[in-house]
Parts: sequence; structure tokens; C-alpha cells
Amino acid sequence: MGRIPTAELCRYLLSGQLSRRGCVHLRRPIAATAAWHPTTRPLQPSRPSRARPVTTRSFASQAHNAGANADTLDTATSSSLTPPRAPVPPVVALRKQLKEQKKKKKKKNVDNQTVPGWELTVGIEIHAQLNTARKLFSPAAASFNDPPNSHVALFDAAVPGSQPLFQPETVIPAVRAALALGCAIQPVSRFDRKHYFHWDQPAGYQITQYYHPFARDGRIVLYARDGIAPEDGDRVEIGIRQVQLEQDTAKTTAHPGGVHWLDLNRVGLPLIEIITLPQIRHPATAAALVRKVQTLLAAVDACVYGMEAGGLRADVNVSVRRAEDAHAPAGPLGTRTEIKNLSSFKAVEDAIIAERDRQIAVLEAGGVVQGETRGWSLGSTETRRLRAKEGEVDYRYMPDPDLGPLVIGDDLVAHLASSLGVLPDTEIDELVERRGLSSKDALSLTTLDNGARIQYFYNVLGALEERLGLGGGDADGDQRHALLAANWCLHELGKLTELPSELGMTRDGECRVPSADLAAILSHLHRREITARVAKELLWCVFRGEIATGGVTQAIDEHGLWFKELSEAEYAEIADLVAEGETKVLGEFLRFKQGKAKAYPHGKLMFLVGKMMRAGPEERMDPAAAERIMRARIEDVYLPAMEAGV
Amino acid sequence: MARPRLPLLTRAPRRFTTPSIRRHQSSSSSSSSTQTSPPSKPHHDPYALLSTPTWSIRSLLPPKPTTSSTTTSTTEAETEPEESTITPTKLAHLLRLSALPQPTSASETAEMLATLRAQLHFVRAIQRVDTRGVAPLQAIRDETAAGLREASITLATVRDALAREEVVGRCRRPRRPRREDGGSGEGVVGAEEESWDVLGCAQEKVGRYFVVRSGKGDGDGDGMADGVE
Repeated sequence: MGRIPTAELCRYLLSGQLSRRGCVHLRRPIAATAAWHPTTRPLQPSRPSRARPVTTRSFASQAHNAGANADTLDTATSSSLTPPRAPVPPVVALRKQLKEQKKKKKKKNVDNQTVPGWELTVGIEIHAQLNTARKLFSPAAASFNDPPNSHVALFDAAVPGSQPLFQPETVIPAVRAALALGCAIQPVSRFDRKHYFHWDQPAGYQITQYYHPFARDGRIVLYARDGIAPEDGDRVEIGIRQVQLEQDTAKTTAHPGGVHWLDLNRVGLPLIEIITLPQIRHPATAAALVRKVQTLLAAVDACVYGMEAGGLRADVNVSVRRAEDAHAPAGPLGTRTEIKNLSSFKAVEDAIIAERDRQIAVLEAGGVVQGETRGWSLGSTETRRLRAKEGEVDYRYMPDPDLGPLVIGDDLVAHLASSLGVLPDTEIDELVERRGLSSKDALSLTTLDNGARIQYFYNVLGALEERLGLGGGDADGDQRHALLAANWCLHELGKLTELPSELGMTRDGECRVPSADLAAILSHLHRREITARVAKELLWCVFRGEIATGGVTQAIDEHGLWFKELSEAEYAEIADLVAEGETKVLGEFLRFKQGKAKAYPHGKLMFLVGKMMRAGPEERMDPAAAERIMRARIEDVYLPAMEAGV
Repeated sequence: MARPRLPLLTRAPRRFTTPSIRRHQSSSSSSSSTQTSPPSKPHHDPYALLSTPTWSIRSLLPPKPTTSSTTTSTTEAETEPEESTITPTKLAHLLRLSALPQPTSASETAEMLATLRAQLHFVRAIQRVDTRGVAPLQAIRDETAAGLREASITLATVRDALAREEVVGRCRRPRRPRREDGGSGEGVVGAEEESWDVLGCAQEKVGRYFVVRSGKGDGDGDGMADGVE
């Protein structure tokens, strides 16, 4: 038994009233008394009257009655009560309490984007490995999974006397990435040294571009389809402060006993660091930004390994300030903390939410947020401190005296800008606006199979338009065929096999189902020359190789799969057959017609259509046509007959 | 700067030399420049000129507290600005940043502090030079227009790499050809640069890996930073 509240103690000592709250076994005697009836006068027990909470919810109805009884008791005796009754919290059942706790813990990110009264500010630094043949300052080969320490030049191992030698080909993916992010390429930029000691950096310093980066002032536009927070609306634009070239460090694998194995293949690989402006206000938008940057860099062939493979890493800077201070846009931001070691998009969002909540808790308790570096691991609920205040690590940036300035010619920038190709946003916009696909479908199509599925779709669409005789250039017409092709490329192809690799999708957009064959199937389907069921069967046969390439039409001929639809009269005949004796069902339609029912009995209609399909020759019937005809028959023939008959 | 200048020799000696020598300075050329003395000036004896030093680098070092010979140094006894006094704590921090061993005794600390103070005095004297309008030299490179043109990366420089790329898909996006397993895709790249015994100077190794031992549970010790910055 816990501590007795003062109010109850008061009541007992001063007026002899004992609270029975929570004493379940004592409730029963009240209701179990044989002569008790709600209309009789309430019992006046010899014991002092009981003070009960007015709002008891959870016990059985007996207790509820007893509670009601107690109310009358209370009102009878409360007038004589001198000490005021303290507010007693309602008793909540244990099961409900546990449920609420679980719900709180599993609070979805969707509800977690804003905290009222506080404004979140997030800035992101993304490190992406460039897709080059050689490293940044040495001619050793850039590799990803080769045997350890097999591509190490003297400079990478920081052998005394070795000098850096800038490799010009690294400029190509770097400039492409900066152009895709809308940055202005600086004609002259310089390299600086960032000094710190760690075993994964043999030289003791990292060559980066701190003072004069090669690209500045870009922007990235995020749309609702990219998965930004709903609070950000339709579209949000995040500025990019700069993009700079820098070196990567060695790969370390940890082993028990404080032992680490080093692979220097990765030392000196070219990285770009993309630093955004602190304009992000919601965690989901931050995750969407990292995802979009990965997509953009892959599209321009600047960075081909994603976050899961370790080719892209993100560090996040988080700060909060009160909503009142936020109204002055030039006002100071709160102290920021940096979160490192984020290895997936979900981790980015979860870590920002956890850090924001921690900072708000610290500030609300009256504390001060320390500017420090924190880490996050999958499955945690809070970030943990990695390193103390910012000022303790001094990188002593200095211009690198061994390297000359990086001068990028205007002609190269112009050439790269003109040969970037169509960027993903433009492609998706075209699919949505011109072809009528939904954003979700367009996104899925362009990202599946590393961009091969969309090529397949274009091939199928081209062949389909040729077969249907639709001019490719004129796209103002009906795009139903494009939607059909998209649905089949996305969903039907996916149903064929569990593993996407079994489809054998090549980069040019061909797979085990040749695009010409799929276009043949779809053209027949579009013209309603075959049913959907037959079309799916054909697809399956083509996938398994049972139908030779180009032999779709022939196979339909051979197996007699053409859709010889019933005529209207035959449909009507079957409808009459089915509707005989279904007076009860037809009665529902009558009730709707007479206004007695609120909604059209669609379910009953489909029941009748199903009966039709079973009654008639199914391979010659189209469910949509059967429904239409049944509906018409009901309206025109059966209901008037019933009305006349009644 | 294209050419290193030596402004000190024309200015600093004025403070540290006696009037007689100063007369020599104003009339003769500086010792290391290649200017010849104008023919109208009177003939000087080179041996006499060069026998007495007119400037010593000691002028840039802090005055020794015990000596009294350099009377001119006392006029130069500038006090260290307060904020730049090196305390033992600061010394320890600087040594940690450079991964140098900490001093083991008080005398060693005092010696290090004295050396550091002398070095800073020298640096401040150098910093007093007027460099308004002069861009700092970052590396000794040819920064004339012709030199910049030669060093710039143009279309011609990377023509080969661009020629090896393929254009893929309806969106005409360029792609660098890669081997399926993620290798370089261009045959043996950089073979000569990589063909040395990488693990030869490893203190400890396992298979083809270098082995490093960290302190017990010490991922980021004093002054050390974590992973990729």
C-alpha cells in the first residue's frame, strides 16, 4: 500500500470518513445485499460513510451500480463535510495503461515532425565517393572490393618524401555533381590541410578545400513525391553552401581486444563534401534530401555507390530554438550539435528526432545545450556523446604548400553542363504530365533495377505505339495505352518472379520478356482482342520461353484465345436466366429506386454479375460489359416488371 | 608574390645600427641585391663595407635578460601582449594537437616555454612587415597568366577519359564503364605505382592487413578525432 494522501488522512481523522478506493473486495457486499434496490432509500451503514471517487470507470457493472449508490451517499453526506475534497485522479485499468505506454513508445514518425512552441533547424553535410578510375592525388587505382592493400601508392601510405600528384580525371564527376546541384563552379580553387591524428589517416592530415571550394551557392528542390514532411507543403528548396573535394580515409575493421585491421585501398579516394544551408525544418525533409542527393549523384554518374554500400555518408547538425525567437529570421540559431555515423535514411530521421527531443528537454529544464559531437546507432532512443566541445579539436587549417591551385577551364564546364543528360526530376515530370502516370508509379519505374526498368518501359511503349498506329510525337491524345504499359511493366512483371535478378533486365531495357512481345500482348489487350486473364497467361508463357520471340499473335491463333465476346442479346439472355427467382435481391434495388435505401446496392449487383459469369461461357464474357448490361436490365426491365406486378 | 622581396634589410637596420653605419646604408645598395652602385656615388672599399655586419637575425629574437651589450635591444623590449602569454596548460594542449610527448619535469616545461616565446617573438617581428595589397603566397608555382593556362584542366586534358564513356538510355546520361565487380574497368591501372611492398614496413600485420592496437576502450584519445571528417 502506498503513501496515504493528506486529504484522505484529514477526512478520516477529522470526520471519520474512510476511503475505500481501490479496495475491490469491499465493493461486492454493497451490491450483494439481497434487499437492495436502486429505488429504495440508500443504505445507511453503521460504519462511517464512504468517500468514493465520483468517476470510477473500470470495474464491473456491479461496482458501477455501487458507485452510483455511492454518489447518492456522497451527496447526502458531503454537505456535512468540512474539509474540502482533494481532486482524486481517475483510476485507470492496468491493461489500458499498458496499451497507452506501448502506443507512446511506438509513436510513428509521421506524428513527430514538429513540436509546438519550438523550431528545429537542421543542416546536413554529405560525403560522397566519386566515380573515378584513380585516386585524387595518386595514380593508384580506385577500387571498391579488391583484395586489401593492393592499390596503394607511396603517397597514400605517407611514405616520407612522397608528393601528391593531382589526377585531372577526378574533376569530371566532381563538376557533374556540382552542376546537378545547381552550383556555380569557381574557376580557381585551392587545397588546404586539415590536421588530426588517427590511424586511418597515414599522413596526419587530410587534404580538403576549406577556404576556397570548387563550387558554391547551389540549391536542391524537393517535392512532395520525394517524401518531405507534409508540414513543408508541396515543394521546398534547400540551399547548398558549397561543394568541395577531399580525400577519403582508410577502411578499419574492428576486432576484439582493441585490435583494428587497416586496409589502405581507400586512402586518398576522391570524395566530395556537400554542405547545405541550415534551412531544413523537419526530420522527414532531411531524410528526403539525403535520398534525393543520392539519386541525383547516381543519375549524373558522380557517385554510384549508395548509403547502404558505404559510398555516401551523412553528418547532421541539429539545433532548436523557441518559436517566438524564430519569427525574426535573422535571429541567432540555437547551439548546434553534430551527429555522425548515420548509415541509412531512416537513421537520419530517427536521430534528428531523438536529438531534437533531447535538446528541448535540456532547454526546458533550464539547462544549456553543449556544442558537441554525438553518435547514433540503429535501434537507439537517444544520441550518445562522442566528443566534447568543438573548440577542443583544433584542425589548424592551412593551405597545402605542395599543391598548386585547381584551375577548371570554362570549356570543360560548358561541355559537362551540356552533356549531363535529362535529370531525374525532368524525366518524372514528363512521365506524370505527358503520360498521366501517378507520381508514385513514375518514381518506382525510374528507380527499379538501377534505371533499367524505365528503359524497358520506353521500349515497350514505343513498340506499342507503333502497333496501335499512334504517332509518337503527338501525345495530347488519350494515354490509356501508356498507363496500361506502365502498370504491366511495374506490377505484372514483378509478379513473374520473386528475385528481380531473375528477370535479367539489361541496361538497355531488355529482359527475359522481350519488349516487342510484351508490346504485342498489350496491343491486343488494348484493342480488347484478348481478355486480361489470357494476356497474363501469355506473359507467363513468354517469360518461360514457351512462346518464341515474335510469336505471340501466332500462339493466340493456335490456341484459339481470341476474345469472341457475346453480343448484347446473349448477355441479356444470361442476365434473364440469372435474375429469375432472385426477387429478394431485386427487392433491394427497388428499395433504392423508391428512395427507401440510401446507397445503391453495389454488392448485390456484383453478386448477380458473378452468377452471370458462372452461368455463361466465361471465356467469352467481359465482367465490365456484364455489369453494365445487368445494371441496364435491372433498371429497364426487372424493376418495372416488379412494380407492375406488385 | 612572383619574386621574394627583402624589405627587412632596407628598414630594420635603421633601428639597430649606429649613425655612422646608417650613412653607409643610405648611400650604398643592399648586400644581396644585384643593383650596382650608381656611378655618381663615391667609391667605397668593399672589404671595409663587408667586414662589419650591419644586421643580425638576432635582432628578431627576444633580448637576452642578462646581456647589456646590445643597448639597442632595450629600446626594443616590447612586452608580450597579454592574451598571447603561453601558459603551461596551453603548451600541453599544443603538444597534444601535434601528438608530441608532454614535458616530464618543470625544467623541461620552462625550457619549452622559453623556446616557444622566442619563436613567437620572431614571428611577431615578421608579421610587422607591411603586406597591404600583397596576396599571400600559398605555394611556389608559376602564377603568371601563362602558368595558369598551363595548369588549368580543360577539355583537352580529360579528352581520353571522356572518350571512354558511354551514353546510356533515353535520357542520354553519360556512364563510365566499370567492371562488374566494381573494379577500375580499364585493365591494369597504375600498376607501376602500386608495385612496391606496401606491408613491408608494417610493425604488425595479419594477412594483407595492417594491425593497429588502440588503448583499452579508447576510441578517441586526447586530441584525436573520429573517422571521416
